[in-house]
Amino acid sequence: MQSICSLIKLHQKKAFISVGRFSSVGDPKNLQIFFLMPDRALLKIDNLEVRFYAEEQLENSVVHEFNLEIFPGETLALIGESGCGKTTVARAILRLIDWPGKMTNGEIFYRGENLLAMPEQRLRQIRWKEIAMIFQEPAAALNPLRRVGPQITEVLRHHLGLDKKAAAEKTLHLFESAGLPDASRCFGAYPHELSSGMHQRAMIAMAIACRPALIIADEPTAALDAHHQNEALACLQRLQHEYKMSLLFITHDFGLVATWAHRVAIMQQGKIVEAEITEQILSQPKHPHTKKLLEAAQRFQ
Amino acid sequence: MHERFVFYSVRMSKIWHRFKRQKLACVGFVLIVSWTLLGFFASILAPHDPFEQVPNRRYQAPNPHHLCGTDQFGRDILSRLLVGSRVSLSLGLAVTAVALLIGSTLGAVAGNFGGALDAVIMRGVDLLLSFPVIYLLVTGVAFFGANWAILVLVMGLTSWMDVARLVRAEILSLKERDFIKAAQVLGLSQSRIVFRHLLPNALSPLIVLFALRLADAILLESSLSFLGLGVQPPAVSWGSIIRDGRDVLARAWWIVTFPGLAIVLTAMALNWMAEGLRKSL
Repeated sequence: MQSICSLIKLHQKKAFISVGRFSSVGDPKNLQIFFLMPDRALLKIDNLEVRFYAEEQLENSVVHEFNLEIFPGETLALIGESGCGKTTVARAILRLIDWPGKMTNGEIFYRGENLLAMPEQRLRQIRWKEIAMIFQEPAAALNPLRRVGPQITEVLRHHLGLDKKAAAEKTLHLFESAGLPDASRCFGAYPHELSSGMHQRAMIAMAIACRPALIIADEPTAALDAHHQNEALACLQRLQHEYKMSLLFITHDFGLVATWAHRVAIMQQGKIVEAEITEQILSQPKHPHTKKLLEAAQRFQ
Repeated sequence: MHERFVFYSVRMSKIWHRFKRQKLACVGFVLIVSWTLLGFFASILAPHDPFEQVPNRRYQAPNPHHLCGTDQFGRDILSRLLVGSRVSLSLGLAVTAVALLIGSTLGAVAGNFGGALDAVIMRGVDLLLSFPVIYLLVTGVAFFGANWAILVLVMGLTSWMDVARLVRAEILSLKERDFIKAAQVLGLSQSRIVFRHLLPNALSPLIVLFALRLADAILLESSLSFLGLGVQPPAVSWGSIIRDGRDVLARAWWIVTFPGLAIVLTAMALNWMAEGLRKSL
Protein backbone atom coordinates (compact mmCIF):
# COMPACT_ATOMS: atom_id res chain seq x y z
CA MET A 1 0.00 0.00 0.00
CA GLN A 2 2.86 2.26 0.80
CA SER A 3 4.34 1.85 -2.63
CA ILE A 4 1.23 2.81 -4.48
CA CYS A 5 0.81 5.94 -2.44
CA SER A 6 4.29 7.05 -3.22
CA LEU A 7 3.72 6.21 -6.86
CA ILE A 8 0.56 8.24 -6.99
CA LYS A 9 2.21 11.11 -5.21
CA LEU A 10 4.94 11.07 -7.80
CA HIS A 11 2.30 11.17 -10.46
CA GLN A 12 0.71 14.03 -8.62
CA LYS A 13 3.90 16.04 -8.64
CA LYS A 14 4.36 15.52 -12.34
CA ALA A 15 0.87 16.71 -13.05
CA PHE A 16 1.42 19.77 -10.95
CA ILE A 17 4.52 20.58 -12.87
CA SER A 18 2.68 20.12 -16.13
CA VAL A 19 -0.02 22.61 -15.20
CA GLY A 20 2.48 25.05 -13.78
CA ARG A 21 1.08 28.01 -11.94
CA PHE A 22 -2.31 26.43 -11.40
CA SER A 23 -0.95 23.82 -9.07
CA SER A 24 -2.36 25.51 -6.00
CA VAL A 25 -5.82 24.23 -6.93
CA GLY A 26 -4.73 20.82 -5.85
CA ASP A 27 -3.83 21.96 -2.39
CA PRO A 28 -6.54 20.56 -0.18
CA LYS A 29 -5.55 22.52 2.90
CA ASN A 30 -7.25 25.66 1.63
CA LEU A 31 -10.51 23.85 1.38
CA GLN A 32 -10.50 21.49 4.29
CA ILE A 33 -12.31 24.03 6.35
CA PHE A 34 -15.44 23.60 4.26
CA PHE A 35 -15.71 19.95 5.08
CA LEU A 36 -16.40 20.77 8.65
CA MET A 37 -19.38 22.91 7.74
CA PRO A 38 -22.10 20.78 6.23
CA ASP A 39 -24.47 23.72 5.82
CA ARG A 40 -22.01 25.30 3.43
CA ALA A 41 -22.58 22.50 0.96
CA LEU A 42 -23.30 23.65 -2.57
CA LEU A 43 -25.04 20.45 -3.49
CA LYS A 44 -26.44 17.96 -1.06
CA ILE A 45 -27.72 14.61 -2.22
CA ASP A 46 -29.89 13.06 0.41
CA ASN A 47 -30.89 9.41 0.41
CA LEU A 48 -31.26 9.27 -3.38
CA GLU A 49 -32.77 6.21 -4.94
CA VAL A 50 -33.05 5.52 -8.66
CA ARG A 51 -34.79 2.47 -10.02
CA PHE A 52 -34.93 1.07 -13.50
CA TYR A 53 -38.00 -0.83 -14.55
CA ALA A 54 -36.91 -3.37 -17.09
CA GLU A 55 -40.23 -5.20 -17.16
CA GLU A 56 -43.48 -4.98 -15.31
CA GLN A 57 -42.43 -7.01 -12.31
CA LEU A 58 -38.70 -6.77 -12.59
CA GLU A 59 -37.37 -3.60 -11.09
CA ASN A 60 -33.80 -2.82 -10.42
CA SER A 61 -32.59 -0.34 -7.88
CA VAL A 62 -29.44 1.10 -9.43
CA VAL A 63 -28.75 3.80 -6.88
CA HIS A 64 -29.99 3.64 -3.30
CA GLU A 65 -29.33 5.30 0.03
CA PHE A 66 -26.99 7.62 -1.78
CA ASN A 67 -25.71 10.56 0.25
CA LEU A 68 -23.14 13.04 -0.94
CA GLU A 69 -22.19 16.64 -0.40
CA ILE A 70 -20.26 18.91 -2.71
CA PHE A 71 -18.71 22.07 -1.31
CA PRO A 72 -18.02 25.33 -3.11
CA GLY A 73 -14.75 25.33 -4.99
CA GLU A 74 -13.83 21.73 -4.35
CA THR A 75 -13.04 18.94 -6.73
CA LEU A 76 -14.82 15.80 -5.70
CA ALA A 77 -13.97 12.58 -7.46
CA LEU A 78 -16.64 9.93 -7.60
CA ILE A 79 -14.96 6.60 -8.20
CA GLY A 80 -16.49 3.23 -8.77
CA GLU A 81 -16.37 0.28 -11.10
CA SER A 82 -18.39 0.17 -14.31
CA GLY A 83 -22.10 -0.22 -13.75
CA CYS A 84 -22.14 0.89 -10.15
CA GLY A 85 -24.39 3.85 -10.95
CA LYS A 86 -21.96 6.74 -11.31
CA THR A 87 -23.49 8.07 -14.50
CA THR A 88 -26.97 7.53 -13.14
CA VAL A 89 -26.14 9.77 -10.19
CA ALA A 90 -24.74 12.42 -12.52
CA ARG A 91 -27.87 12.36 -14.60
CA ALA A 92 -30.13 12.29 -11.59
CA ILE A 93 -28.64 15.55 -10.32
CA LEU A 94 -29.88 17.34 -13.43
CA ARG A 95 -33.07 15.28 -13.57
CA LEU A 96 -32.13 13.67 -16.85
CA ILE A 97 -33.41 10.23 -15.92
CA ASP A 98 -36.17 9.19 -18.31
CA TRP A 99 -38.48 6.25 -18.22
CA PRO A 100 -37.75 3.31 -17.66
CA GLY A 101 -35.57 4.93 -15.03
CA LYS A 102 -37.23 6.71 -12.16
CA MET A 103 -36.08 8.59 -9.10
CA THR A 104 -38.14 6.90 -6.45
CA ASN A 105 -36.78 8.47 -3.32
CA GLY A 106 -34.53 11.15 -1.94
CA GLU A 107 -33.79 14.81 -2.36
CA ILE A 108 -31.08 16.78 -4.08
CA PHE A 109 -30.58 20.24 -2.66
CA TYR A 110 -28.82 22.89 -4.64
CA ARG A 111 -28.26 25.92 -2.42
CA GLY A 112 -31.24 24.86 -0.35
CA GLU A 113 -33.60 24.27 -3.28
CA ASN A 114 -34.76 20.76 -3.98
CA LEU A 115 -33.87 20.04 -7.62
CA LEU A 116 -36.14 17.02 -7.75
CA ALA A 117 -39.26 18.88 -6.67
CA MET A 118 -38.90 22.19 -8.47
CA PRO A 119 -40.98 23.09 -11.53
CA GLU A 120 -39.50 22.52 -14.98
CA GLN A 121 -39.26 26.28 -15.52
CA ARG A 122 -36.98 26.85 -12.54
CA LEU A 123 -34.95 23.75 -13.35
CA ARG A 124 -34.23 25.13 -16.81
CA GLN A 125 -32.74 28.22 -15.20
CA ILE A 126 -30.46 26.12 -13.05
CA ARG A 127 -29.34 23.77 -15.76
CA TRP A 128 -26.23 25.09 -17.47
CA LYS A 129 -26.28 28.48 -15.75
CA GLU A 130 -25.68 26.99 -12.31
CA ILE A 131 -24.92 23.34 -12.94
CA ALA A 132 -23.28 22.32 -16.19
CA MET A 133 -22.32 18.89 -17.40
CA ILE A 134 -19.60 17.41 -19.56
CA PHE A 135 -20.43 14.10 -21.14
CA GLN A 136 -18.54 10.88 -21.47
CA GLU A 137 -18.57 10.81 -25.25
CA PRO A 138 -17.82 14.32 -26.40
CA ALA A 139 -18.47 13.41 -30.03
CA ALA A 140 -21.97 12.17 -29.22
CA ALA A 141 -22.82 15.22 -27.16
CA LEU A 142 -22.77 17.55 -30.15
CA ASN A 143 -25.64 17.67 -32.58
CA PRO A 144 -24.18 16.06 -35.72
CA LEU A 145 -26.28 18.17 -38.07
CA ARG A 146 -25.29 21.60 -36.82
CA ARG A 147 -22.03 23.49 -36.85
CA VAL A 148 -20.23 23.58 -33.54
CA GLY A 149 -20.19 27.34 -33.12
CA PRO A 150 -23.86 28.03 -33.82
CA GLN A 151 -24.86 25.28 -31.41
CA ILE A 152 -23.31 27.33 -28.66
CA THR A 153 -24.36 30.75 -29.89
CA GLU A 154 -27.93 29.54 -30.10
CA VAL A 155 -27.98 28.80 -26.41
CA LEU A 156 -26.16 31.99 -25.51
CA ARG A 157 -28.66 34.05 -27.45
CA HIS A 158 -31.60 32.14 -26.09
CA HIS A 159 -30.51 32.18 -22.46
CA LEU A 160 -28.53 35.35 -22.00
CA GLY A 161 -30.31 37.45 -24.59
CA LEU A 162 -27.12 38.28 -26.46
CA ASP A 163 -27.39 39.43 -30.05
CA LYS A 164 -25.89 37.39 -32.84
CA LYS A 165 -22.57 39.17 -33.03
CA ALA A 166 -21.95 39.31 -29.29
CA ALA A 167 -22.82 35.63 -28.96
CA ALA A 168 -20.40 34.70 -31.72
CA GLU A 169 -17.66 36.76 -30.13
CA LYS A 170 -18.28 35.22 -26.76
CA THR A 171 -18.22 31.73 -28.25
CA LEU A 172 -14.90 32.40 -29.96
CA HIS A 173 -13.54 33.73 -26.71
CA LEU A 174 -14.75 30.61 -24.88
CA PHE A 175 -13.15 28.39 -27.50
CA GLU A 176 -9.89 30.17 -27.00
CA SER A 177 -10.00 29.91 -23.23
CA ALA A 178 -10.80 26.21 -23.53
CA GLY A 179 -7.66 25.90 -25.61
CA LEU A 180 -9.25 25.05 -28.94
CA PRO A 181 -6.62 25.60 -31.60
CA ASP A 182 -7.81 27.65 -34.56
CA ALA A 183 -11.02 28.70 -32.85
CA SER A 184 -12.54 30.46 -35.84
CA ARG A 185 -12.24 27.39 -38.02
CA CYS A 186 -13.80 25.17 -35.36
CA PHE A 187 -16.65 27.65 -35.08
CA GLY A 188 -17.87 26.91 -38.58
CA ALA A 189 -17.07 23.21 -38.60
CA TYR A 190 -19.45 20.30 -38.28
CA PRO A 191 -18.73 17.94 -35.38
CA HIS A 192 -17.51 15.19 -37.72
CA GLU A 193 -14.80 17.50 -38.98
CA LEU A 194 -13.18 17.84 -35.55
CA SER A 195 -11.11 15.41 -33.52
CA SER A 196 -12.39 14.03 -30.23
CA GLY A 197 -9.94 16.19 -28.32
CA MET A 198 -11.48 19.21 -30.01
CA HIS A 199 -14.98 17.94 -29.26
CA GLN A 200 -14.13 17.71 -25.60
CA ARG A 201 -12.74 21.22 -25.57
CA ALA A 202 -15.82 22.52 -27.32
CA MET A 203 -17.93 20.78 -24.69
CA ILE A 204 -15.82 22.30 -21.93
CA ALA A 205 -16.22 25.71 -23.56
CA MET A 206 -19.96 25.18 -23.66
CA ALA A 207 -20.07 24.06 -20.05
CA ILE A 208 -18.20 27.04 -18.66
CA ALA A 209 -20.01 29.64 -20.76
CA CYS A 210 -22.18 30.86 -17.90
CA ARG A 211 -19.60 30.39 -15.18
CA PRO A 212 -21.62 27.71 -13.43
CA ALA A 213 -21.09 27.01 -9.76
CA LEU A 214 -20.82 23.29 -10.36
CA ILE A 215 -19.61 21.23 -13.28
CA ILE A 216 -20.43 17.56 -13.45
CA ALA A 217 -17.81 15.82 -15.54
CA ASP A 218 -18.93 12.31 -16.37
CA GLU A 219 -15.76 10.45 -17.30
CA PRO A 220 -14.79 13.33 -19.56
CA THR A 221 -11.53 11.74 -20.58
CA ALA A 222 -12.61 8.16 -21.12
CA ALA A 223 -12.76 8.62 -24.89
CA LEU A 224 -9.43 10.41 -25.18
CA ASP A 225 -5.88 9.14 -25.47
CA ALA A 226 -3.38 9.79 -22.71
CA HIS A 227 -1.99 12.94 -24.26
CA HIS A 228 -5.36 14.59 -24.84
CA GLN A 229 -6.51 13.32 -21.48
CA ASN A 230 -3.82 15.32 -19.72
CA GLU A 231 -4.45 18.39 -21.81
CA ALA A 232 -8.20 18.30 -21.22
CA LEU A 233 -7.68 17.79 -17.50
CA ALA A 234 -5.20 20.63 -17.25
CA CYS A 235 -7.64 22.82 -19.13
CA LEU A 236 -10.51 21.88 -16.80
CA GLN A 237 -8.33 22.44 -13.77
CA ARG A 238 -7.20 25.83 -14.98
CA LEU A 239 -10.73 26.96 -15.75
CA GLN A 240 -12.01 25.64 -12.46
CA HIS A 241 -9.40 27.68 -10.68
CA GLU A 242 -10.10 30.75 -12.78
CA TYR A 243 -13.84 30.63 -12.32
CA LYS A 244 -13.85 29.15 -8.80
CA MET A 245 -16.22 26.36 -9.70
CA SER A 246 -16.91 23.09 -7.95
CA LEU A 247 -16.27 19.99 -9.92
CA LEU A 248 -17.85 16.59 -9.56
CA PHE A 249 -15.45 14.38 -11.42
CA ILE A 250 -16.74 10.92 -12.22
CA THR A 251 -14.20 8.32 -13.15
CA HIS A 252 -12.98 4.80 -12.57
CA ASP A 253 -9.34 5.77 -12.82
CA PHE A 254 -7.68 6.27 -9.44
CA GLY A 255 -4.47 7.58 -10.95
CA LEU A 256 -6.28 10.43 -12.66
CA VAL A 257 -8.01 11.51 -9.53
CA ALA A 258 -5.12 11.34 -7.13
CA THR A 259 -3.41 14.16 -8.93
CA TRP A 260 -5.92 16.85 -8.27
CA ALA A 261 -9.13 15.91 -6.47
CA HIS A 262 -9.60 17.36 -3.01
CA ARG A 263 -11.88 14.61 -1.94
CA VAL A 264 -12.69 11.16 -3.17
CA ALA A 265 -15.98 9.31 -2.82
CA ILE A 266 -15.93 5.60 -3.45
CA MET A 267 -19.07 4.05 -4.83
CA GLN A 268 -20.08 0.42 -4.84
CA GLN A 269 -23.32 -1.01 -6.18
CA GLY A 270 -25.25 2.23 -6.00
CA LYS A 271 -23.98 3.37 -2.63
CA ILE A 272 -21.21 5.54 -1.28
CA VAL A 273 -18.99 3.33 0.84
CA GLU A 274 -16.33 5.84 1.74
CA ALA A 275 -15.85 9.59 1.22
CA GLU A 276 -12.67 11.19 2.44
CA ILE A 277 -9.97 13.69 1.66
CA THR A 278 -7.78 12.31 -1.09
CA GLU A 279 -4.64 11.97 1.02
CA GLN A 280 -6.58 10.08 3.64
CA ILE A 281 -8.06 7.65 1.15
CA LEU A 282 -4.72 6.99 -0.45
CA SER A 283 -2.82 6.46 2.78
CA GLN A 284 -5.48 4.87 4.98
CA PRO A 285 -8.30 3.32 2.99
CA LYS A 286 -10.89 1.96 5.39
CA HIS A 287 -13.46 0.16 3.30
CA PRO A 288 -12.43 -3.13 1.69
CA HIS A 289 -13.81 -1.98 -1.63
CA THR A 290 -11.56 1.08 -1.58
CA LYS A 291 -8.60 -1.15 -0.86
CA LYS A 292 -9.58 -3.39 -3.75
CA LEU A 293 -9.82 -0.46 -6.14
CA LEU A 294 -6.47 0.85 -4.99
CA GLU A 295 -4.89 -2.52 -5.44
CA ALA A 296 -6.34 -2.77 -8.91
CA ALA A 297 -4.84 0.59 -9.77
CA GLN A 298 -1.52 -0.58 -8.39
CA ARG A 299 -1.54 -3.76 -10.40
CA PHE A 300 -2.38 -1.79 -13.49
CA GLN A 301 0.45 0.62 -13.02
CA MET B 1 -20.56 33.25 -45.22
CA HIS B 2 -18.32 31.78 -47.87
CA GLU B 3 -17.04 29.21 -45.41
CA ARG B 4 -20.56 28.15 -44.56
CA PHE B 5 -21.38 27.65 -48.17
CA VAL B 6 -18.33 25.47 -48.67
CA PHE B 7 -19.27 23.18 -45.77
CA TYR B 8 -22.81 22.94 -47.01
CA SER B 9 -21.82 22.11 -50.56
CA VAL B 10 -19.31 19.50 -49.40
CA ARG B 11 -22.08 17.70 -47.54
CA MET B 12 -24.48 17.92 -50.45
CA SER B 13 -21.88 16.79 -52.94
CA LYS B 14 -21.18 13.68 -50.87
CA ILE B 15 -24.85 12.75 -50.92
CA TRP B 16 -25.07 13.49 -54.62
CA HIS B 17 -21.96 11.43 -55.29
CA ARG B 18 -23.47 8.39 -53.58
CA PHE B 19 -26.82 8.96 -55.27
CA LYS B 20 -25.55 9.18 -58.82
CA ARG B 21 -23.73 5.86 -58.58
CA GLN B 22 -27.09 4.12 -58.38
CA LYS B 23 -28.45 3.73 -61.89
CA LEU B 24 -32.08 2.96 -61.06
CA ALA B 25 -32.28 5.89 -58.69
CA CYS B 26 -30.95 8.18 -61.39
CA VAL B 27 -33.45 6.83 -63.90
CA GLY B 28 -36.20 7.50 -61.36
CA PHE B 29 -34.91 10.97 -60.72
CA VAL B 30 -34.77 11.80 -64.43
CA LEU B 31 -38.29 10.43 -64.95
CA ILE B 32 -39.71 12.49 -62.09
CA VAL B 33 -37.97 15.65 -63.20
CA SER B 34 -39.14 15.19 -66.77
CA TRP B 35 -42.74 14.51 -65.70
CA THR B 36 -42.64 17.65 -63.61
CA LEU B 37 -41.27 19.70 -66.48
CA LEU B 38 -43.76 18.17 -68.92
CA GLY B 39 -46.61 18.98 -66.58
CA PHE B 40 -45.32 22.46 -66.02
CA PHE B 41 -45.05 23.28 -69.71
CA ALA B 42 -48.06 21.17 -70.71
CA SER B 43 -49.88 24.08 -72.30
CA ILE B 44 -46.98 24.70 -74.69
CA LEU B 45 -46.04 21.08 -75.29
CA ALA B 46 -49.50 19.60 -75.79
CA PRO B 47 -49.94 18.98 -79.51
CA HIS B 48 -53.72 19.48 -79.33
CA ASP B 49 -56.27 21.12 -77.10
CA PRO B 50 -56.87 18.48 -74.40
CA PHE B 51 -60.49 19.51 -73.92
CA GLU B 52 -61.55 20.00 -77.50
CA GLN B 53 -64.05 17.37 -78.62
CA VAL B 54 -63.80 16.52 -82.33
CA PRO B 55 -66.53 14.07 -83.36
CA ASN B 56 -64.83 12.92 -86.54
CA ARG B 57 -61.63 11.75 -84.86
CA ARG B 58 -63.14 9.53 -82.17
CA TYR B 59 -61.44 6.25 -81.25
CA GLN B 60 -58.29 6.77 -83.28
CA ALA B 61 -55.57 4.25 -82.53
CA PRO B 62 -52.12 5.70 -81.90
CA ASN B 63 -50.85 7.30 -85.11
CA PRO B 64 -48.34 9.97 -86.08
CA HIS B 65 -50.94 12.72 -85.55
CA HIS B 66 -52.15 11.44 -82.20
CA LEU B 67 -49.26 9.55 -80.65
CA CYS B 68 -51.40 8.02 -77.94
CA GLY B 69 -54.66 7.93 -79.89
CA THR B 70 -57.93 9.67 -79.12
CA ASP B 71 -60.83 8.85 -76.82
CA GLN B 72 -64.55 8.46 -77.39
CA PHE B 73 -65.03 12.23 -77.64
CA GLY B 74 -62.17 12.69 -80.05
CA ARG B 75 -59.86 14.28 -77.48
CA ASP B 76 -56.12 13.77 -77.87
CA ILE B 77 -54.89 11.36 -75.18
CA LEU B 78 -51.29 12.61 -75.16
CA SER B 79 -52.39 16.19 -74.53
CA ARG B 80 -54.71 15.00 -71.79
CA LEU B 81 -51.90 12.98 -70.25
CA LEU B 82 -49.65 16.02 -70.14
CA VAL B 83 -52.27 18.28 -68.63
CA GLY B 84 -53.45 15.51 -66.32
CA SER B 85 -49.96 15.10 -64.88
CA ARG B 86 -50.39 18.54 -63.34
CA VAL B 87 -53.30 17.44 -61.20
CA SER B 88 -51.83 14.05 -60.40
CA LEU B 89 -48.41 15.33 -59.39
CA SER B 90 -49.51 18.49 -57.60
CA LEU B 91 -52.24 16.66 -55.72
CA GLY B 92 -49.79 13.93 -54.77
CA LEU B 93 -47.27 16.48 -53.61
CA ALA B 94 -49.77 18.47 -51.57
CA VAL B 95 -51.27 15.36 -49.98
CA THR B 96 -47.82 14.11 -49.02
CA ALA B 97 -46.90 17.48 -47.58
CA VAL B 98 -50.04 17.54 -45.44
CA ALA B 99 -49.46 13.96 -44.32
CA LEU B 100 -45.86 14.68 -43.44
CA LEU B 101 -46.73 17.82 -41.56
CA ILE B 102 -49.43 16.17 -39.44
CA GLY B 103 -47.57 12.90 -39.07
CA SER B 104 -44.24 14.33 -38.03
CA THR B 105 -45.75 16.81 -35.59
CA LEU B 106 -47.89 14.21 -33.87
CA GLY B 107 -45.13 11.60 -34.01
CA ALA B 108 -42.62 14.02 -32.51
CA VAL B 109 -45.01 15.02 -29.75
CA ALA B 110 -45.82 11.39 -28.95
CA GLY B 111 -42.20 10.32 -28.99
CA ASN B 112 -40.90 13.25 -27.01
CA PHE B 113 -43.44 13.52 -24.25
CA GLY B 114 -44.36 9.86 -23.89
CA GLY B 115 -46.78 8.77 -21.24
CA ALA B 116 -50.50 9.27 -21.64
CA LEU B 117 -50.18 11.67 -24.58
CA ASP B 118 -48.12 9.11 -26.45
CA ALA B 119 -50.64 6.38 -25.70
CA VAL B 120 -53.58 8.51 -26.88
CA ILE B 121 -51.90 9.56 -30.13
CA MET B 122 -50.59 6.13 -31.02
CA ARG B 123 -53.89 4.39 -30.25
CA GLY B 124 -55.51 7.00 -32.48
CA VAL B 125 -53.07 5.99 -35.19
CA ASP B 126 -53.96 2.32 -34.69
CA LEU B 127 -57.63 3.18 -34.88
CA LEU B 128 -57.27 5.14 -38.12
CA LEU B 129 -55.08 2.46 -39.64
CA SER B 130 -57.72 -0.17 -38.97
CA PHE B 131 -60.21 1.61 -41.26
CA PRO B 132 -59.93 0.88 -44.97
CA VAL B 133 -58.69 4.25 -46.22
CA ILE B 134 -60.79 4.17 -49.34
CA TYR B 135 -64.03 4.18 -47.29
CA LEU B 136 -62.85 7.16 -45.31
CA LEU B 137 -62.05 8.92 -48.56
CA VAL B 138 -65.38 8.07 -50.15
CA THR B 139 -67.19 9.35 -47.05
CA GLY B 140 -65.12 12.53 -46.98
CA VAL B 141 -65.63 13.29 -50.64
CA ALA B 142 -69.34 12.45 -50.41
CA PHE B 143 -69.74 14.96 -47.58
CA PHE B 144 -67.53 17.77 -48.72
CA GLY B 145 -67.41 17.51 -52.51
CA ALA B 146 -64.45 16.82 -54.70
CA ASN B 147 -62.48 19.93 -55.43
CA TRP B 148 -58.71 20.07 -55.26
CA ALA B 149 -58.39 21.49 -51.75
CA ILE B 150 -60.92 19.13 -50.22
CA LEU B 151 -59.22 16.17 -51.87
CA VAL B 152 -55.85 17.24 -50.50
CA LEU B 153 -57.25 17.65 -47.04
CA VAL B 154 -59.19 14.39 -46.99
CA MET B 155 -56.35 12.37 -48.45
CA GLY B 156 -53.78 14.07 -46.23
CA LEU B 157 -55.83 13.41 -43.13
CA THR B 158 -56.04 9.71 -43.92
CA SER B 159 -52.42 9.05 -44.77
CA TRP B 160 -50.31 10.57 -42.00
CA MET B 161 -50.36 7.55 -39.70
CA ASP B 162 -47.27 5.71 -40.84
CA VAL B 163 -45.35 8.99 -40.88
CA ALA B 164 -46.27 9.46 -37.24
CA ARG B 165 -45.10 5.94 -36.43
CA LEU B 166 -41.79 6.44 -38.18
CA VAL B 167 -41.09 9.81 -36.61
CA ARG B 168 -42.05 8.57 -33.16
CA ALA B 169 -39.67 5.63 -33.47
CA GLU B 170 -36.87 7.91 -34.69
CA ILE B 171 -37.45 10.37 -31.87
CA LEU B 172 -37.48 7.61 -29.30
CA SER B 173 -34.08 6.40 -30.38
CA LEU B 174 -32.66 9.91 -30.82
CA LYS B 175 -33.83 10.92 -27.38
CA GLU B 176 -31.38 8.55 -25.76
CA ARG B 177 -28.46 10.07 -27.65
CA ASP B 178 -26.09 12.23 -25.67
CA PHE B 179 -26.56 15.41 -27.64
CA ILE B 180 -30.22 15.52 -26.71
CA LYS B 181 -29.28 15.07 -23.06
CA ALA B 182 -26.70 17.79 -23.60
CA ALA B 183 -29.37 20.08 -25.02
CA GLN B 184 -31.45 19.42 -21.92
CA VAL B 185 -28.48 20.20 -19.72
CA LEU B 186 -28.19 23.50 -21.53
CA GLY B 187 -31.62 24.35 -20.21
CA LEU B 188 -33.31 24.45 -23.61
CA SER B 189 -37.08 24.21 -23.70
CA GLN B 190 -38.82 21.05 -24.87
CA SER B 191 -40.19 22.63 -28.03
CA ARG B 192 -36.77 23.97 -28.96
CA ILE B 193 -35.21 20.56 -28.47
CA VAL B 194 -37.89 18.90 -30.57
CA PHE B 195 -37.76 21.31 -33.49
CA ARG B 196 -34.09 22.28 -33.51
CA HIS B 197 -32.40 19.08 -32.42
CA LEU B 198 -34.71 16.08 -32.69
CA LEU B 199 -36.66 16.56 -35.92
CA PRO B 200 -33.74 17.68 -38.11
CA ASN B 201 -31.92 14.51 -37.12
CA ALA B 202 -34.92 12.41 -38.13
CA LEU B 203 -34.97 14.06 -41.54
CA SER B 204 -33.24 11.48 -43.73
CA PRO B 205 -35.71 8.65 -43.16
CA LEU B 206 -38.45 11.25 -43.61
CA ILE B 207 -37.13 12.24 -47.02
CA VAL B 208 -37.19 8.60 -48.11
CA LEU B 209 -40.69 8.21 -46.77
CA PHE B 210 -41.69 11.36 -48.62
CA ALA B 211 -40.80 9.80 -51.97
CA LEU B 212 -42.64 6.59 -51.10
CA ARG B 213 -45.72 8.43 -49.84
CA LEU B 214 -45.74 10.53 -52.98
CA ALA B 215 -46.05 7.38 -55.06
CA ASP B 216 -48.84 6.15 -52.80
CA ALA B 217 -50.66 9.46 -53.00
CA ILE B 218 -50.54 9.47 -56.80
CA LEU B 219 -51.87 5.93 -56.89
CA LEU B 220 -54.58 6.81 -54.40
CA GLU B 221 -55.64 9.84 -56.40
CA SER B 222 -55.84 7.65 -59.48
CA SER B 223 -58.02 5.13 -57.72
CA LEU B 224 -60.30 7.90 -56.48
CA SER B 225 -60.56 9.43 -59.93
CA PHE B 226 -61.17 5.98 -61.35
CA LEU B 227 -64.13 5.61 -59.00
CA GLY B 228 -65.34 9.03 -60.13
CA LEU B 229 -64.61 10.60 -56.76
CA GLY B 230 -61.48 12.44 -57.74
CA VAL B 231 -61.24 15.68 -59.66
CA GLN B 232 -64.46 16.28 -61.58
CA PRO B 233 -64.69 16.89 -65.32
CA PRO B 234 -63.67 18.91 -67.20
CA ALA B 235 -60.56 18.82 -64.98
CA VAL B 236 -58.42 15.88 -65.94
CA SER B 237 -56.06 13.61 -64.09
CA TRP B 238 -54.46 10.28 -64.99
CA GLY B 239 -57.05 8.38 -63.02
CA SER B 240 -59.94 10.16 -64.71
CA ILE B 241 -58.60 9.32 -68.18
CA ILE B 242 -58.59 5.66 -67.19
CA ARG B 243 -62.15 5.99 -65.93
CA ASP B 244 -63.18 7.50 -69.27
CA GLY B 245 -61.66 4.59 -71.09
CA ARG B 246 -62.72 1.75 -68.86
CA ASP B 247 -66.11 1.22 -70.57
CA VAL B 248 -64.56 0.99 -74.00
CA LEU B 249 -61.54 -1.04 -73.02
CA ALA B 250 -62.27 -3.78 -75.57
CA ARG B 251 -62.67 -1.26 -78.35
CA ALA B 252 -59.88 1.21 -77.57
CA TRP B 253 -57.08 -0.23 -75.45
CA TRP B 254 -54.94 2.91 -75.77
CA ILE B 255 -57.20 5.15 -73.69
CA VAL B 256 -56.53 3.10 -70.58
CA THR B 257 -53.04 1.90 -71.39
CA PHE B 258 -51.13 5.18 -71.65
CA PRO B 259 -52.30 6.85 -68.44
CA GLY B 260 -51.87 3.48 -66.75
CA LEU B 261 -48.28 3.38 -67.95
CA ALA B 262 -47.75 6.93 -66.76
CA ILE B 263 -48.97 6.03 -63.27
CA VAL B 264 -46.91 2.87 -63.11
CA LEU B 265 -43.78 4.62 -64.36
CA THR B 266 -44.15 7.50 -61.93
CA ALA B 267 -44.81 5.29 -58.93
CA MET B 268 -41.91 3.05 -59.88
CA ALA B 269 -39.60 6.00 -60.47
CA LEU B 270 -40.47 7.39 -57.06
CA ASN B 271 -39.77 4.05 -55.43
CA TRP B 272 -36.42 3.78 -57.17
CA MET B 273 -35.61 7.28 -56.14
CA ALA B 274 -36.59 6.58 -52.54
CA GLU B 275 -34.36 3.53 -52.52
CA GLY B 276 -31.49 5.57 -53.89
CA LEU B 277 -32.05 8.29 -51.31
CA ARG B 278 -32.18 5.73 -48.54
CA LYS B 279 -28.79 4.46 -49.52
CA SER B 280 -27.15 7.81 -50.04
CA LEU B 281 -28.51 9.91 -47.19
